[in-house]
Amino acid sequence: MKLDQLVWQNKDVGDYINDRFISLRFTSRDDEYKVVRAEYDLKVHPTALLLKADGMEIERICGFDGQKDTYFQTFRDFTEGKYTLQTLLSEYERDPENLEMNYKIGRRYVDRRQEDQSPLYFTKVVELDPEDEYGYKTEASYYIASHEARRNKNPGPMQAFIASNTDERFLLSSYYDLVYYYMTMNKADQVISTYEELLAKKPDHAPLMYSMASYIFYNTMEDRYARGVELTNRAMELEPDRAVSGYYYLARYYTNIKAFDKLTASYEEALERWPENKTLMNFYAGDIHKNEIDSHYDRGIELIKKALDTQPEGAHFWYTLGWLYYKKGDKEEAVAAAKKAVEFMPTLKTYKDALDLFQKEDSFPRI
Amino acid sequence: MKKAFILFGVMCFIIFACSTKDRIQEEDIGLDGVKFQKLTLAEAKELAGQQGKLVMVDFFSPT
Repeated sequence: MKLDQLVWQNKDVGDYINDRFISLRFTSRDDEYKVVRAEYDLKVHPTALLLKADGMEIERICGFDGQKDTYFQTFRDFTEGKYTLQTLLSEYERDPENLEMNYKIGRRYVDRRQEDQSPLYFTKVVELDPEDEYGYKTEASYYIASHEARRNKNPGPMQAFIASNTDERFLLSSYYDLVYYYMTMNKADQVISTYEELLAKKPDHAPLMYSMASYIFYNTMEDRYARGVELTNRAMELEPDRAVSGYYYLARYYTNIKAFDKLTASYEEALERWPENKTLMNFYAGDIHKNEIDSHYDRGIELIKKALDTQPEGAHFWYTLGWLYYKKGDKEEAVAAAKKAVEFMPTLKTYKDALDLFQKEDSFPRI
Repeated sequence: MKKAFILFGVMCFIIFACSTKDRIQEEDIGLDGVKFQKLTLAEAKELAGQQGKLVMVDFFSPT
C-alpha cells in the first residue's frame, strides 16, 4: 500500500511508466496469479516485474523501503537496461575475476530474493579480496554463512560469523538465521538461548521480544510462559503505538492456559485503544469461535458486522462470521456468510471446506 | 436497404460505445499515477507489442 501511495500514484512516475509500459497488477485473488508467479519464480510482495513485449524479463524490483526517489531511479535504470541481472552477467562472462562484478551479481541475487544463487559470487569476492581492501568481505561472508545455515543446515559458518562480527548491520539477521536453523531442527532450547543472547545485545528491541514470546506461546513452552508474558509486556511499553501486536500474543497465551475471561478482557482493552482496527476485531471474533466462548458469540458477530460495514468484500470476515453463526447453531446465516467468503476468495480451499461443512445437515451442532 | 443501413449504424454505435466503456473501466485506478489495466498477461503482451511498449506487472498484497 505504501508503494501504491508513494510511487504508483505519483504523477511523474505515472507519466514515465504510462509512456513506456502496459501496466497490470495481480494479487493472490486473481486467477492468473499462481501461474505468473510460478512462471517467473516470484518470491515476495510487492514485486514489480518489468517485461519485454514477448514476455522476456528485463528485471524485477522486490520489496519497498519507503524511498520513493530511489525506487523510481532503479525503475528507470532497469527500463534502460542498466544494472539488470542480465547486464551484469554479460559483463561477468567477459571478466569472471572482476571483484566488483562478482559483488554486484551477488547483491542483485539478494535483492531479487534469490539468495540461493548468491554464494557462488560472494565466495569469489572473499577469495579475490582476502584483506578486504574493497570493504565487501563482511557482507559477502554473511550471505555465505546465511546460505549455509538456512539451506544447507550447517550452522558452523554463522556461529563463526557471529563470534567475530562487529558490524551492526548484520547483528539481527545473523542471529535470526541461527534461530531459524534451530527452529527447523526442532532444537527449542537452542532457539531460546540464541534469542536470549541477542536480547542481551539488543535489550530494547521490541520486535525481537515479540518474536521470542510468540515462539514460546505458539510452541506451548509452559515452563517459559512467564518469560513470554514479561517480554510481551515490556515490548508493549517500549512501543505503545504498536502494542496491538502484544495483545495478539497475549491472546495466544490466555488461550493456551484456557483463561477465557482474561482473553476477552484483554481483547476488549485493546479495542478501547484501537476501536476501528478490523484485524483486531477479526482476531477477537476468531478466538471466540475457536475457543467456543458461547457467552461472546453475539459480541463476535457484532464486531465482524462492524468490520464488514467498511470492507464488505473482506472474505476473511465473512469466513469468521460463518463460523460464529455455525457455532451458534444458525445454519442459514452460517451458509450465507460462507458463500460470501467463497465468492470473494474462490481459490481458498479453507473457505470452501467451511461452506461444505456448514451445508451438511448432520454436521450441524444441535443447540 | 435503408433499414439495413440504419441497423448497421446502430450496431456500429453500440460496438463503439461498449468498447469505449470497457476502456474506461480498464484504466480506473489512479488519476495521476500509473494506469493499471484490467488485462491478462497475454493481452498485455499483445497490446505492448502493438504499441511498441514494455509490460509492468505489480504483484502486491491487498492489505
